[in-house]
Amino acid sequence: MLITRSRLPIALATGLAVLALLVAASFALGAFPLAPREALSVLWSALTGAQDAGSDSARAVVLELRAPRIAAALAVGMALGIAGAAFQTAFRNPLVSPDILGVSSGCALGAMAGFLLGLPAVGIQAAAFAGGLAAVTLVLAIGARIRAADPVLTLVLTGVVVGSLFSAGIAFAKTIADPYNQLAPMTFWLLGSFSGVLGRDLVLALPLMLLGSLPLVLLRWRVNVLALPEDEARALGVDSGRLRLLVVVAATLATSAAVALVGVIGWVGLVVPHAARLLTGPAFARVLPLAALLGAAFMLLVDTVCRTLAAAEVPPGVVTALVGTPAFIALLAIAGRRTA
Amino acid sequence: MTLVARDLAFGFGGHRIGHIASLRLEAGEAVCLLGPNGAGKTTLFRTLLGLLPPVSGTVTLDGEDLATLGRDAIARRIAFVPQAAATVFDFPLLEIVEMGRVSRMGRFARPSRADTAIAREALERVGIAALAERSFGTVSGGERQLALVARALATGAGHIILDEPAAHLDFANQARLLQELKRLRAAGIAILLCSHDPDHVVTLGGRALLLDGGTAMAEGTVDEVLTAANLSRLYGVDVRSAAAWRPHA
Repeated sequence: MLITRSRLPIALATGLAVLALLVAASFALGAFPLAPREALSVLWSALTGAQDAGSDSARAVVLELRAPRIAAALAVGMALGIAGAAFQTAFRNPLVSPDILGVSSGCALGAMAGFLLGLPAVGIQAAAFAGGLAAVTLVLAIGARIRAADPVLTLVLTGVVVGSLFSAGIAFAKTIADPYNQLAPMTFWLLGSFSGVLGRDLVLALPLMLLGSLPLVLLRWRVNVLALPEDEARALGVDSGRLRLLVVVAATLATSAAVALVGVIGWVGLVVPHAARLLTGPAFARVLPLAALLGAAFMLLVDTVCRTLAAAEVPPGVVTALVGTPAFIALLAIAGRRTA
Repeated sequence: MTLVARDLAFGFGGHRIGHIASLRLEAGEAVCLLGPNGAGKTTLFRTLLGLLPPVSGTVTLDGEDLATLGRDAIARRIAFVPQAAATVFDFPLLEIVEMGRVSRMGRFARPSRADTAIAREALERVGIAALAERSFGTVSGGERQLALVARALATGAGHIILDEPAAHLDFANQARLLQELKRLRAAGIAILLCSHDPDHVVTLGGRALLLDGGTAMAEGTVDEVLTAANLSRLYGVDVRSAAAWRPHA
């Protein structure tokens, strides 16, 4: 365990400093390169309301294009990291990701319906968010009606099944879509993208991500107890069924808002909590801030690479998979060596 | 501090698998449940802990019906020590023992300095304070079991229920665990455990309850209950002399 309880504040401060450097670099890099100093002075004048600094084009690039995009990457990475850590602890399973209960496929189906109905961007975002919540509500309702010896396993299996049902719906939506006008944006949405995120898109998504993260932050110590076997958690005095439901609802809210904003971006919610646990052990109270920080940094790094690597933007989901797969295998190898 | 079960039928989902006419556990007492696999020991324990509702009858804690008490109120008075199994999330022992404090903490609270001190003291009491920072998966089975006993102590509960605490322990660790339990009993904690080994009952002293097919076959002091005839009947094998289990008698 690298980061013990006493070292956590220093680790978080260091992490924040690195993240700040990343943010500054991300503002400077891109198709329209800026000196970091110019990008920051534009940002600073906008934040303080001082005299406008920089050229008009620099201001447009920094404030209208890069700021919302960077904010989206940070928030989505944070939300997916936290939600993934919460789901893994609450389900006592390090292999679940935040979309285990069908959030992503629910969001995707909602977004597909939005495209088919020809809704504007904000309508598609709202439809995606509603779809994600609907999928998880359905899974929880089915799970609650099935009496089983292991309610957690039942829930996870129900999530997998409902998720694949929604996937069939997505496939169907693509077959009936207009191949000239609708299919391409639908496919791009499914790959996930931060391009085209504007300030107004964040108005709904950011507060929802924060709202979903808040209960997890407040309950960060108590959530640990859910990692124990069901009988032990209850015998220790925790109403584990209710607490788990609360965690699932909060994490789903954050995940839905993230997916509705930028589409499906895999791997972040699975790999980031693993990396956090490798650094600090399983204690959720320490995993949570680390996962938030690592998730935000990772997502920002991925998006910055996506928009600078090639002339055409690379979908972030492709990069997270390319980075996530070897990273996950490496984490498994390191964790395996530790316990062996 | 008294845990009392009266006319208690226990089982799952209204399906009765066993019945106990009466069971009483007072401060400083030890009761050992003995019975073959499938006798209903674990189900009875889950019912006594309020994890399963009784099929009929009542369990009371200091005169209060368990069904009317919240989970945290029960947890502050009865602690549970399960069989130590490795979990996926490999917490350090100190953090596991700190979880024993959860029933006494606010919903959004983290362990205070006092909680951590109590957790360290509990590890000290069972003799594994040196392992506080080691993770659960890297210590021996006996040390894991002692850590779970420490967690039960950290709850501050007056009753401790242990489900086959010595099942996976080697001879030395069994002896160590039983010594700790004897000491706790002397300190006024009520202990209810089940075991597969009649020797444990003898070492711990107190009363024994033989459970067969969900019903109490015999109950009383070790001398009254652990007879060759009773044990032969209970386990369905020929037990020649109960004295073989009573080297100190």
